[in-house]
Amino acid sequence: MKRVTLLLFSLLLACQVLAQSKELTIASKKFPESSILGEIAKRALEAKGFDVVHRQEIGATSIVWQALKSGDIDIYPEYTGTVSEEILKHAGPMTDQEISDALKEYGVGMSKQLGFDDTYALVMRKEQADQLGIKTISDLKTHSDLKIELSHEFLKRKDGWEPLSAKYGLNFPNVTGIDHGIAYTALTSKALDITDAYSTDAQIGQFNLTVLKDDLGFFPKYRAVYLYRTSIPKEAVDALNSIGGTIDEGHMIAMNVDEAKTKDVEHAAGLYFAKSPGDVRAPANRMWPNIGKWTLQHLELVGASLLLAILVGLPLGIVASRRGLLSQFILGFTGMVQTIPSLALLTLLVAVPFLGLSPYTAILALFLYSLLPIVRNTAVGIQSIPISIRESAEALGLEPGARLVKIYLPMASRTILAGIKTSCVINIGTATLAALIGQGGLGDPIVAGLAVNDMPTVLQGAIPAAVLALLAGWAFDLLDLILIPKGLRLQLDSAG
Amino acid sequence: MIELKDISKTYGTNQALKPLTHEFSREKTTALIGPSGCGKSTLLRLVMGLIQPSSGQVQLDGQTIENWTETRRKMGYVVQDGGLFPHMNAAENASVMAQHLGWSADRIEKRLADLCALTRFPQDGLGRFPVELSGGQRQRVSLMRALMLEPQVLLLDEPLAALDPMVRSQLQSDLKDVFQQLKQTVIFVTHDMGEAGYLGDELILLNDGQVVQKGRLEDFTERPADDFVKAFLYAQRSLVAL
Repeated sequence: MKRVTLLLFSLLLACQVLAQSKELTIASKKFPESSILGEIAKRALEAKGFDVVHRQEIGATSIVWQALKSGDIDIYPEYTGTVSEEILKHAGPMTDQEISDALKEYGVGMSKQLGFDDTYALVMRKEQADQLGIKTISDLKTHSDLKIELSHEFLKRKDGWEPLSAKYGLNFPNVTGIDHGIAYTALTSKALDITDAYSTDAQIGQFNLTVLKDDLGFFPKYRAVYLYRTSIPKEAVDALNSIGGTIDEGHMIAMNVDEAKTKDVEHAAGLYFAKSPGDVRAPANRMWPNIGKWTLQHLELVGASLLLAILVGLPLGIVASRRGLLSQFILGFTGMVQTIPSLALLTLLVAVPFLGLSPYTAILALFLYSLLPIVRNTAVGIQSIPISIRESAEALGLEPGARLVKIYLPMASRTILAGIKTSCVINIGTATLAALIGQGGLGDPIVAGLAVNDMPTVLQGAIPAAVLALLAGWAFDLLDLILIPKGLRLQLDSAG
Repeated sequence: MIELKDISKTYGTNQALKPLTHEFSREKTTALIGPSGCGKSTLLRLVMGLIQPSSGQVQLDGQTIENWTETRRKMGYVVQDGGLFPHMNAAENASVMAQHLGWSADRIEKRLADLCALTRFPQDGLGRFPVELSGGQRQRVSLMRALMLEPQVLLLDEPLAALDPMVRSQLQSDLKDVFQQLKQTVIFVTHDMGEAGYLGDELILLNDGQVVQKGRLEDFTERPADDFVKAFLYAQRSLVAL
């Protein structure tokens, strides 16, 4: 009996220890404002002595809501319009009380409103809107030729595109989905004309965009709140409610702009707690991690496209080495691709179904540009093998395949490698254009920096790209030593 | 034994070789001789199947050749500049087919040693690349490569044309020894009557795609078939003394 009591006691003790060390998990959706609000909640809760983990950029509404329902997370920032329309699937507006009551059955509570309204909006370039005289969403009715791309979430929402276009009587033939983060880049680079945005997005100010007036009052109110599991301690709920009513729209835009500039969510959220601007620590120096990230993305793009170009270009070059119509066609085609301006090629490929603004588009474009040097050098390398060598190989009784593998390809290896090297170096330069279709890489800071005329940012992309090209050149020189047979190197040395 | 049956070759309107029937018998060395463009190299390439005849056919031991890849392994071929593969050393060049056919390393090594002795190529030069060899040595390696699989027929296309006189004369006598030891069908192309007479049991003089005269060197010098033969002989100043 005594033993059982002891066991129970230790179990109870263990449970208590576990309960005390229980962390609160905050999640945020995949856009900066959500991350900033998550960060503000984190710091407010930490000030009350809670251990808080903030999982940023988890995903869209359905994912974070599922995570909250299942208890994977405890808190996340949300908007009332989204709760009523998307989560509760309620027709028509709901009061805060109605929302709170409805959420109870899921074991979820809602904090006080934080103080600002972040509604959906349609945006376009100010210059184009002025030129076409578009001010309201109703004005779009006569402009169905404009290219419209919307975030995947907005396309599917109950308060999204379909009911909106029905209400306004809009008739756009091709409406496609785009990642919200990429949409602004696409909009400023004129790849599209209209996209959806949140009314507090920093980019609206940064990129000189116009918010089209919701003249028929379609969009529900989206007031920011925190959703939390009702099982969290009361002190935590109090801490969340204490944030209520303290963030107005101007405040939120300022924090969003700060995040856009510093790429530092913690720094942006810090503005909320600062009594004066001096109280905020300097933004984290993200230069090196960012350069690392961009370089890695860049290498992925270059690596994938170059590998593909080698796998396709080598056989094509072998075929093209036999003079004839097919050879002329192959060399003509790869040469023609080279003459297409890169921006034009990207635009062409973005229009292809299934490609759009995906990494495949960037890789395909880079692959096409990489082909010519590899195909041509392979063909020329094989063609320039002297007739006496070809006849000797044939006269020995080697089958065509064996001749190619044992004699022709090793003899052409230097030329082929030179082609691959050229492709690689050109590719490293061209891959900076991937940023134009939102595929990152070292073009990211270049495009972003050029957009706001910020040279230091441009150099953060340009210098690593140049260094990468140099390193690639050296790497290939080393590869020459390994892959080019010794006899050929001796021959070239003796020749000059 | 190689037989040519009414074989000819036409490029466009140019008849490089007019219909020719001939038998290259075993243990005999035949020299194809004539001025540039007379069709002697065309004839050699036809025998090797490197070009296809416009008419007629080539037979090996009474059989029309169907599978050229297989047949070529029974033939050895040496071109003017050796045609050695620059990325392979001498041993690799000589044994490329043996390797391809999966010979054991021991067998290859033994065969290489025999061939070095036969062609008088120094064994310690086997590791050298073509660029590190002299012109004469390159031809010896090329000969080793041609002889590696013990061919029934050996074809040489102006094998000594690019060599200086001293090396050339040495190689001529070495080649004569080799041909005598092989006791196989040998056909070689040269434009040098002296070389043809020294190495060949039978000479075939071609001009303008046609055989002008066949026979031994004495037949040519003593009974030239026509004025062309006389002129050709006269042009070979070293032979004028004969």
